[in-house]
Amino acid sequence: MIFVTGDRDAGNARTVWAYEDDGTPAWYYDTADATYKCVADAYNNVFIVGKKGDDGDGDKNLWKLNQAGTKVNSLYVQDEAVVYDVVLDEDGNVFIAKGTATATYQATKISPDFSTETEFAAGNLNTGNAIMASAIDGHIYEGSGGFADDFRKFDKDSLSTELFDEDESETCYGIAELSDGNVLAAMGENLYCYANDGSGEVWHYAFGAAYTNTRVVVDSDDNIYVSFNKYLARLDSDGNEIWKTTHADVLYGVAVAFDDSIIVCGARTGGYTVWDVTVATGALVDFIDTGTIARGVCGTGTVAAGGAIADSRKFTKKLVAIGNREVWYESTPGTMTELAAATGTLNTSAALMATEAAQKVFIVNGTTKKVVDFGNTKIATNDILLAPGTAIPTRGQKLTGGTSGALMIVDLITASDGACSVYGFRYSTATFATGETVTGTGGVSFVLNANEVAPPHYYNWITYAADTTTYGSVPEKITGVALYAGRILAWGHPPYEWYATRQMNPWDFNNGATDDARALFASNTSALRIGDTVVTAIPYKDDICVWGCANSLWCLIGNPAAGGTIQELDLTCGLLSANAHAWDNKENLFLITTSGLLVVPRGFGPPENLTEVRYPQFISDLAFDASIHRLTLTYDRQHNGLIICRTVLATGESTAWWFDLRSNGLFPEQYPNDCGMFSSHYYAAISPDYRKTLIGCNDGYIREYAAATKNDTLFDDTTQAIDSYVGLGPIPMSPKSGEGQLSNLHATLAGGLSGGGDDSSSVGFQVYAEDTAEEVISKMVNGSAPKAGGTFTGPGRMRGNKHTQKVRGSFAGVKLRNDTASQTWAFEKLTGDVKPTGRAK
Amino acid sequence: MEIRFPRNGLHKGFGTEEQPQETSRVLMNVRPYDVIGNMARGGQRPGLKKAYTQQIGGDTLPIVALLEVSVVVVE
Repeated sequence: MIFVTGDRDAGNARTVWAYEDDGTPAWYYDTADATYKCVADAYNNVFIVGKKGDDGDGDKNLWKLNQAGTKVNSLYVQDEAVVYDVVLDEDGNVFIAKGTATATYQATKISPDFSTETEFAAGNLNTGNAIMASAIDGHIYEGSGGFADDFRKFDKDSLSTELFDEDESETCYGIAELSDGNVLAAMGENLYCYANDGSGEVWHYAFGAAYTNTRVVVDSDDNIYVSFNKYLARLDSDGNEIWKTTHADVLYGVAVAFDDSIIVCGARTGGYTVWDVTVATGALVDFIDTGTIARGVCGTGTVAAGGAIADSRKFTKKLVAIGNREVWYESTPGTMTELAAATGTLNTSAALMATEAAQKVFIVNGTTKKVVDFGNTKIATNDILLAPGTAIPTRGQKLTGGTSGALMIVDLITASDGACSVYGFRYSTATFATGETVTGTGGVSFVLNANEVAPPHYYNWITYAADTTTYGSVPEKITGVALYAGRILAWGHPPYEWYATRQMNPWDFNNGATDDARALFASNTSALRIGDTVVTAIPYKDDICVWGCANSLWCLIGNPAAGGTIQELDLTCGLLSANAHAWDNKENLFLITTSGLLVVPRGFGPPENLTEVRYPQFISDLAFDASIHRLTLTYDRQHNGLIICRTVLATGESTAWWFDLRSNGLFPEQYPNDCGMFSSHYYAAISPDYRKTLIGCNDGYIREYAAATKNDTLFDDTTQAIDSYVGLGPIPMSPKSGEGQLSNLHATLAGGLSGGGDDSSSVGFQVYAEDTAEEVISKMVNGSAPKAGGTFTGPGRMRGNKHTQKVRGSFAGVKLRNDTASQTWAFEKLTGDVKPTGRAK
Repeated sequence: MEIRFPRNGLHKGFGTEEQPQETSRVLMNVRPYDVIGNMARGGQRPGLKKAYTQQIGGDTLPIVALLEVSVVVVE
């Protein structure tokens, strides 16, 4: 809402006006005499001060009205004839600056319920015109006028402690503060910026003459708006004038309203008393007419009654896939689009790894090191150092478009002189345009040679400003990257070396600094040397990173530039592949190592080998050879298990296992060569429709496991049946190693509920009975001719599913199988009769 | 005799006459939680289908990296 104070209109007895954000009148209130300033809280309660007036409740000079315009409270503060300014602190206390008709001091603190008033025990017998409760340091700033100590800072709690004062011999009418804590005092002839620590003036902006009723506000981007007489100026936070406009009559107030818009008020001209400010130019747009002189204005955010609930999300997500020397990204949910700039720049036949950091994807591919930047806007200039005395933008600096008013936080510049691209996060709705001068503090000024370019961008990974002296160099060759505690870790050249960028700055590889956030490389830090060949780094939370090496596993704990150490995790095995690791949803870490599938339990307890008992030959059967295989380990959040897949590089032929974390069971799988797994990722998409475990396949398609899909989909959209089977047994047929007889086999398959549920397809079965268990297993594995067989008809328990054929042997086995297209099955149980028949022959 | 699906999966660590309960040496493309009712009774694995219609790289060559990036929305 917007609230306006001003002179009483005799024709319409009003002194407080309230409007919706679009200028629609909301309500009016009459305090019986002129009001001067107002301030609103987060609930759209408005506090008004001015000349004392009797609204039917006796003389008052402070009023609190709710968002409907109903009086909540009022006070006659120390019998003052006039109160000039009012502010609130974060606790709801009210502070006012007042005249001196009967009081000694200029400022008073009033409790939120108006029950207590406490005067500041310091004063100079001059009128208190302005007051501010700092949102940054919590102290109170008060401006008074005209003589000694016209700007002062008080301790909010003691009220008697004057922390500093400034004497300009000018009357102070308005106070504001910058985000760095420095304070602004709008006085008679100048706008002063004072250091928050009391060390004095930082800068001042001269009005050119002496005026009364000067005002100042600061928006959320540290743009300063100061009104003085008929003038309104916009300054940057260094006091540089961006524009100055002249109005037809005197301005009395300026405020930041809803959505960081700027509004001003003043003497009635052209039928209006409140104007909306065009922030790029300073032009005033007619907005509100209160009918009489508007002396104060304030605005708040508006909560729309009954409105739709806004999307609170401030980010989106994109899937990125790399293949065939190209980078593709999800341009809209569900649609992958080629990033044209990247085409042909990557060698996807060689080692390649990518990691996300700071809205970007960092891709390393040997000596090729690239960045896909999804967050920054790009602007460009022919000369980043336009003239002597100018400076290049620093990282994190705010830049402003001189014409457009567009705003950007700098992330990267590509040169320190001459032609330069500047990548930064534009957070204004205004966009940068060709020909405009872009400025920043410290003398930054350059002219754009093109309109801004929206992301995504694709460029070389360089250090800031390509300044290797200050920021070092990106390592010549990198085979792997990972994000750890705000640093990008890079490794691979030489194979035992690893590097880390400065924290929160991927453009700084200078390891010569001494601060805790500095970049570093392992070999110059004794506590960080490993010595083994690095396979990959596996970050865990914010202070642990596992280093998987060829023959050992290590753990980096803490900040590597501030006491962090490398400790051994396991010296008996090494990591098989850079993609052979995964975290589950319980913070267990799984690794495929030279000794088997390991789990490192949450909290980094001793690793446990999950395959050494159940499958001792797992690693030798895996027979992984990095020169001919790709090995991936993926945690599937949807089905709560691990997918282990070894894919032949040349053909896509896969040898895979599903490790179910609910049953702790390992289950072999096979996929068509088109579906051979080369990469995988659980995509935590914004839309649940796309939130799933994804597989980067041999044929260039991204696939998913789909419960309702009964076949595997091939490259050409044809399907291939899934050949699924399980061997039940060996079943001992006699308790004393004798022979027995198996008969009356009956299977209950899934489904068969009347009126609902999915049903199991039928399942074929083969019965084996032999003298030894090993023989039974061998024949089930090889698919040898069974002694009996048939089909269990699904779903459920069907009539006629009992097979009475008898088989004899010491051990039996039943193999269930379905390899029919577009069928799937599930199995409840198998029953049968086993009857010992005597001693084995 | 009543036999259930070998929910504990593949086990090749013991002698063939000592095959642990609910394990097997003969398994392919089955999982303990079935795709029909998502119950621990065993059945065929889920099928693999295309999640996106676009072919990455425009040719039958493998996807070597797959990841996601979060991007701030400018309001």
